[in-house]
Amino acid sequence: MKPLDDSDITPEHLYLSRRTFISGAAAVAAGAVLAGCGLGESKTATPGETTGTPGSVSSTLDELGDPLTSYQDVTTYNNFYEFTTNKDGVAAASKDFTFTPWSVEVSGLAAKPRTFAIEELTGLFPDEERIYRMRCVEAWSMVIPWLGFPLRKLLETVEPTPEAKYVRFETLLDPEEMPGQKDTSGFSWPYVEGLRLDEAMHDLTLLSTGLYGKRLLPQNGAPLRLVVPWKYGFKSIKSIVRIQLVAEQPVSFWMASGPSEYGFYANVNPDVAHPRWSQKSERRIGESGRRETLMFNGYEKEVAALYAGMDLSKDF
Amino acid sequence: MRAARPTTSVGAGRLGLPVRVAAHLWALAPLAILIYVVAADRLTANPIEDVTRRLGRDALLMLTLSLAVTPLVWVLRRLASDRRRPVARAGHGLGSALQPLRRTFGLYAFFYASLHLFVFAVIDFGLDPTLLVDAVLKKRYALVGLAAFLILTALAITSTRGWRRRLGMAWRKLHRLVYVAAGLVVLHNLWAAKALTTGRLAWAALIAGLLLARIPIWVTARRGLSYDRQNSSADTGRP
Repeated sequence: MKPLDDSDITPEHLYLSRRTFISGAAAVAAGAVLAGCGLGESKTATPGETTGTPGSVSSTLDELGDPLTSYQDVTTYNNFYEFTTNKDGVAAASKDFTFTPWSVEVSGLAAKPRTFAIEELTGLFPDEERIYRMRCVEAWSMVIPWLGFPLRKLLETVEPTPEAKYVRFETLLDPEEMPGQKDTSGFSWPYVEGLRLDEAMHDLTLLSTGLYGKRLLPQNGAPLRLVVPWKYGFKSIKSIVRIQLVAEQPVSFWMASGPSEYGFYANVNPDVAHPRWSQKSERRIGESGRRETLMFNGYEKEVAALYAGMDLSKDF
Repeated sequence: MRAARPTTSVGAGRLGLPVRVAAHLWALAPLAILIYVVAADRLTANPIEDVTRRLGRDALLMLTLSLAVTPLVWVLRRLASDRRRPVARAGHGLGSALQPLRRTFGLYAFFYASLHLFVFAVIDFGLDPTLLVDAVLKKRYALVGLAAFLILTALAITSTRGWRRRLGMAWRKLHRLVYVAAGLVVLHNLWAAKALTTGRLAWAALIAGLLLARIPIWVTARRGLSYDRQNSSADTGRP
């Protein structure tokens, strides 16, 4: 698929800002009416009106025959604590996020460490479309058509040294742009994630720059995010500024915040319980009822070999 | 607690009816909002989770209101006792009118908690025994929530005048379990959270404050001082 260029993006931003204004004004008017009825539940804008329309996709089903989650749901129901802990508030809270210019430092135990402008990355590594299931640790899931390139291609470019055993990822740290980072009571920012090198080199592991045929919106981790479909969603770190090859296992954001709840691997596993969410079943967004959670989120055939001989209830 | 008086409170006077009506409207507003939000399709992309969360929050709100009644009435009566003016008598009358709301809001807490549990067990999990066992018995947040619900159920059943008469002094002891339920609900809310957000911590602090506010009330009661005797001591300037 051809990468979008500036001329594709700019008119939409203009279009979006107009829509946002109109729907915002409508929400204010509706809010006034509701407040008069004593039902003043305010919402900034109707979902969907702030996110535009999806681009084209090659298929409307994943390889298991399950339909894609709607573009509206994918772009309005997000976990992104850098903006807000309200999943339906991230789209509105992140709409002014500035991500141009953007560069990504790829460094650490590498023979050719380098910093890439985001445009360089999309130029070097052409878009591939990957339809993946995304299973959140909160026991809900989506099917999302991503655009991006395998992380392996980028790592090969910088040539990891033999000492490199893990990959450490970091999200932008900028409390002005990401107001959720001002709340330091329970969290140590920036968001950090990590993969073992062989996980990072796996063909399923994607660096994504888009979804539904379009560039990523802020709420989905613009302009560059990780997608590791056999792990819980929080492993798929958003708005990445740094990728480091390291020798030691990194301590991730969620490991630091709750070591007994979040392990380094965080593989989707219906047999390993979490203190809050049953991991045996999940709600697929857009469906009613529950469906069974699949081992490795349905990618067992592809990734089980990575964990041969490991006790996954210990290395959770 | 001495502040616990029969729900057929004497002295509520003309304020009784408007206060009752206002309380019911307030307590039913979350239900009206929920019905509107569902009908207008304004839930999140994860509607069952959204409804469950809203109902839990509404139950917590009602329980908080119920717990706030006794300290509020106590404060109103103390303020009212310091002066012999019409405004003071109005304060006393308002206190008497508010006292029965402890039961009203308590029953609404049970009502919203029942809906919360119904959505969780029936709509979300379809009463699937395997999934429910996994989702409840292995989760500490769910266990404390269930325990709190069982307490609220017992209190709701025995909240009638008949049960109160039948149980006598035991009724008072039984209904002190509401403080245990409040603690369990706070734990439920904190443990159900992925992160200890300021909002949840603030709510926990509010409930803790309302429970701690009972201490001066108990201390006053232990000293054997009725509110009326305090009135006279305030008048003579003695402690």
